[in-house]
Amino acid sequence: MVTIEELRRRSLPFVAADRDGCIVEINDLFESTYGWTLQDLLGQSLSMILPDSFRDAHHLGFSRFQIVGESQILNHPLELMTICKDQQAINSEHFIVAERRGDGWVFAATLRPLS
Amino acid sequence: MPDLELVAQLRTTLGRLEAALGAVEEALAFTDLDGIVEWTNTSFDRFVGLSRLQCLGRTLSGILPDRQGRDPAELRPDQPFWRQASQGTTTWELTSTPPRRVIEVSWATVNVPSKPSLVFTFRDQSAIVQAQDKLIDARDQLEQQVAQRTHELRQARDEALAASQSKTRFLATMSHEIRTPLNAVIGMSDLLLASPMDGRFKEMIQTIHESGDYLLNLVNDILDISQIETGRLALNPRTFDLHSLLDDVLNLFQHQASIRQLDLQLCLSPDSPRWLIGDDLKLRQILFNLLGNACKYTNQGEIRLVVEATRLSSERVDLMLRVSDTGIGIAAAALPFIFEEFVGHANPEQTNQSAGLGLAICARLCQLMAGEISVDSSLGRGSCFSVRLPFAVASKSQKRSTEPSPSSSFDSGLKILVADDNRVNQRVLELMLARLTLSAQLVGDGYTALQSIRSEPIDLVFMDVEMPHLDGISAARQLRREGYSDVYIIALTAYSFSSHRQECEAAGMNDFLSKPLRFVDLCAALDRFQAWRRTKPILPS
Repeated sequence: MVTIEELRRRSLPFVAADRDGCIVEINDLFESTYGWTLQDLLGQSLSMILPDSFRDAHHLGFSRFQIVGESQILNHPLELMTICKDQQAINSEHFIVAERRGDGWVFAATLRPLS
Repeated sequence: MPDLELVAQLRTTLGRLEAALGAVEEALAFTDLDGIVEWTNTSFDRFVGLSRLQCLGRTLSGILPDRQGRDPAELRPDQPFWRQASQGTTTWELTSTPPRRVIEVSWATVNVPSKPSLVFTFRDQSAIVQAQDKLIDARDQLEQQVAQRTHELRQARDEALAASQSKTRFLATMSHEIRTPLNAVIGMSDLLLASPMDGRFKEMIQTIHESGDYLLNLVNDILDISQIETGRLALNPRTFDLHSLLDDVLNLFQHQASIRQLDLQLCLSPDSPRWLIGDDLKLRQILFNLLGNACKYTNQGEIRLVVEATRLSSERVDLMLRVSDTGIGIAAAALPFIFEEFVGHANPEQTNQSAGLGLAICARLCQLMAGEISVDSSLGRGSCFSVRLPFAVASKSQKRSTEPSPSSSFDSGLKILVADDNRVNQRVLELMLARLTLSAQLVGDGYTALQSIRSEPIDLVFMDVEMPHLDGISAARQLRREGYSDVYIIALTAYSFSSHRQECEAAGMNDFLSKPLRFVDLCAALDRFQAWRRTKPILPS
């Protein structure tokens, strides 16, 4: 099982979120690749960097995970679009992990651009 | 700052909703108004064979499975199927060959002001449709089997009818062909027996006569069975004298019984009515068969005919006739089959001169007359055949009209014409008439018969039915048409079906004699002719 720390150490764009799915951390590579600054994203929902059509599904799926603790999208690479600050969509390989913190979960992902 | 507890509550609500929608059997999808997929449930992912992440962001039309009869325009983004209306239902057939896969698709617009969208439901109806298909298949198959069976049965019925008609035709023809020479055998031997001759010759002639009689009875029995089976044998009810019929029948068997030294007795209960209405010929036939068998299968002792009557009403009576003998009896094992055709007697020594038709005819005649027949028998002790037959009781007026006329001697000056194409038959009749001191003019066809009647007065015509040039029925019809109503015509035919008798009557013939002609029958017919002459109105010449 890959940990958040291991993801953080990879030389890939990196983002971390708290138990509510709000962004708490991005790395330099993320900023340079997708144009966002931490200031832009801090406290914002992870859905901000997803296409419009993914947002409802993200919120519903995220909420379900909070109750059930099971997900189809964790711990394996996923090909998804990432929205840049300029609203351009870049095809990327997402690798998302979740870790327990107390009675909740925190999240992190690497987003390797594919094009 | 958002209320954290409220957010958590909302997350729980959303999570439960997501989990619940994921558990439903119907495939669900949520899209924007352009059909871009924004949410799917697990059933939908299974239905399209993609994960949710693979579906999100794509057009719905692009990921749905292909279906039969799909409008190609639908694949264009501006022409999706849901554009027909804001909501609707349609059915898609996904496969072209059985088992069919059928999906019912429903959609509805979700009018949220900021972001209107569409919700789709895909319901799998394959199990229902496949069950319906199986039912339809089974029904079609059943209908096909019924049609096939009906066709086969119709064909079998037609074949059976054709075979039956062909059998009836064959029997009628054979009967005619056999009766014609039999007429000569029986008629001539009948005449010879009346002549003086020595004992040896008389015995030989007697044998010829009896053999002819047996052959004739056999032909008649086969014809009767055939007619009964084909439903052609009809009842001909008329008023008759029961007492006289029983005396006649008994007298006919008295000789046979005395030769075998058997005591033959009639026990007629005093309350038996004398005059009845019914088919006396068939009653006579039943008694003939039963008494004939009794004589044939009894070597010593007695034969009794017991007749009793049960009044059902003032007009109806049940006649119970019992023929019992002290003969060889019938084995218990043979009793259930005794009334079937061609079941002869179990004792080979007693089966000579028996085709096994007599009892079958009796049983069928009883059935035809709404009566019944049964047997009680014990091997070595004898048999008792019981027949119950219903009859109508004749009224006084009916009795008078049918009372037989006294027999009288015949006027030798009678002008008689015999029309028959067969020389032997002509000769038989000529000889029989000669015994009564009567003579006849002989012609060979209907046309010549007509000419003779037109040229000189004729009192009585014996008209053969089947003749060359002009047959007897046509000749009779022609005579009546020409006004020859005072000529008495007696049909003479080797056909014995009652339909022939009716045809003769319809053509205007007065009487009917069946070949082979017997002297007693001829006398009876002449008696009837005499009676007719006495009652006939005298017309001005």
